[in-house]
Amino acid sequence: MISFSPLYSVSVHPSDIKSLHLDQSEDEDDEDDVDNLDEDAVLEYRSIPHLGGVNRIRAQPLPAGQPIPPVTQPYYVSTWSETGKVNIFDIRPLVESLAVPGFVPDKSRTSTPAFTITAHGRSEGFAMDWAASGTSSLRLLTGDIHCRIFLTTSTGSSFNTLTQPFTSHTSSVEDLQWSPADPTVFASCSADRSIRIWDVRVKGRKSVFGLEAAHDSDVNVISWNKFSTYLLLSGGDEGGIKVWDLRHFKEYILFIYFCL
Amino acid sequence: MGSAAFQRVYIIYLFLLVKMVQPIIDFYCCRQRSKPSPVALFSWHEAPVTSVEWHPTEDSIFAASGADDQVTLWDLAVEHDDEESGINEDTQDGKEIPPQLLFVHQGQKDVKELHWHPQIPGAMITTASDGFNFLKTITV
Amino acid sequence: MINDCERLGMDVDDENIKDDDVEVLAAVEEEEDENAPQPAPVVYIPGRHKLAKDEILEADQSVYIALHPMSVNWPCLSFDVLRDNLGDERSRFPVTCYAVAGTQADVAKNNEILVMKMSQLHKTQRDGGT
Repeated sequence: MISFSPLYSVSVHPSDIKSLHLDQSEDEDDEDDVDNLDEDAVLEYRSIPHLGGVNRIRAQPLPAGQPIPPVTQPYYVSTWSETGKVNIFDIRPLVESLAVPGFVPDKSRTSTPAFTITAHGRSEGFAMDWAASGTSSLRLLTGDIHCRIFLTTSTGSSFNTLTQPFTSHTSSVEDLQWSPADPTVFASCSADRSIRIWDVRVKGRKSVFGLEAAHDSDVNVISWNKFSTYLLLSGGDEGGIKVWDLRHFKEYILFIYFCL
Repeated sequence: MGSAAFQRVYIIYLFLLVKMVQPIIDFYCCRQRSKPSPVALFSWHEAPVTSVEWHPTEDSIFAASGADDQVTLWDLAVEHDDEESGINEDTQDGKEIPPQLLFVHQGQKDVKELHWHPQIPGAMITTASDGFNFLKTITV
Repeated sequence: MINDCERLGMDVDDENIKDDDVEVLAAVEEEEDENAPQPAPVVYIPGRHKLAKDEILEADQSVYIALHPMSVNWPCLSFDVLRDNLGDERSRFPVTCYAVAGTQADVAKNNEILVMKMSQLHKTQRDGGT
């Protein structure tokens, strides 16, 4: 193994060095300082008015290795608003207007949500994850600070939210992740310090398994490995990062099924 | 049978039942007598971890961001090399650097979220209170 | 049940994105030509080092192939990368990419969803400072 010193991106120098911000430009195509011409990044954007701060925003998954859908088809993003609503917007025309000069997006298609999830009431949330089966069948999980998780699925050109939430957490749901291997399985984490595994088919909408006290404090985020589908990553309020092997849990799951 | 005898038979019956079931319970539950522990644990971040994400194509690599203004890149496949220990593991003030820690990116304040770009290998975008960073390091 | 959880009423993330009293923030770029010889850089570890008044945090450009800070009108708590038609496994620079973000504005009605295109993302790599 090569002796390889750990790499740090930042070093501390006494400031006789003149500071030059790496450029930032917004809106239109601004070319910036002449000095750094070859390093000027350009940021253009199109905006959609949104009521309430955005706690989380997620784009629907698209099949890998294929072009994105044609402009006549939607590219959905969902937003968790501080107001408690989850909005689903179709941003495909706006992407087109950025990619293709001269394309004029149909504002009526983009400026109002294609669908709004009101099931959470006034409870805001942060947890949100999309999954897709094929190109047209989408499902969206949303979790709120009052411990509830709702499932919304696409139905033709619109969406439908299941009335009954998934409830097993005892505090705010912080993150959700669909399983990359099983389309009916998802994981959640919460301020109740637990990580839970769910199967949407379970009657009563309770979790199949809960890993209590997964972290010393709130579990904030999780990520499911798409290749080694038994690996779940979690991060907590105490600063810890943990990697879990779900094959250790399967025994518990099997045991529960055995007992049922 | 008298009730005392009945109780004795009943207790023996329970005893045998438990004896039969015990190995099954042991098999499923008691491989780990305490609750399952993670296969890896990194305590590097000094404030809440705000985002974690596996690399889109490398199955042992992930990134994390924290309220301590750090973005860290990790590779689970890196193992502790005993020969090297003591050479590159200590920083100036002795904090041990886990061998799996590939990179620490700083410069932003209060990093909230990070995502790898699935179509640009090694590229990542972060958002923090002071805006976005697009970055690609020499590590991944 | 819902009632139990309402009682908990926990505040989740601290969304107040305030500037702290850290002295210097964004990555800065070295000048090409420097008069005085540089002292050897000290690796900065948050929580263990405190920046002195005359010290700034500076990115070591040799360890990034590219590093581009960008900002918009409001801080964004969350964003997502958008897929595009520019191909997979793109490793030639400059690159272009698309993302979508949501703002945390001063009042509820000032918020926006931003569909962003970042382009002219060149390599910024410089060899280690001497």
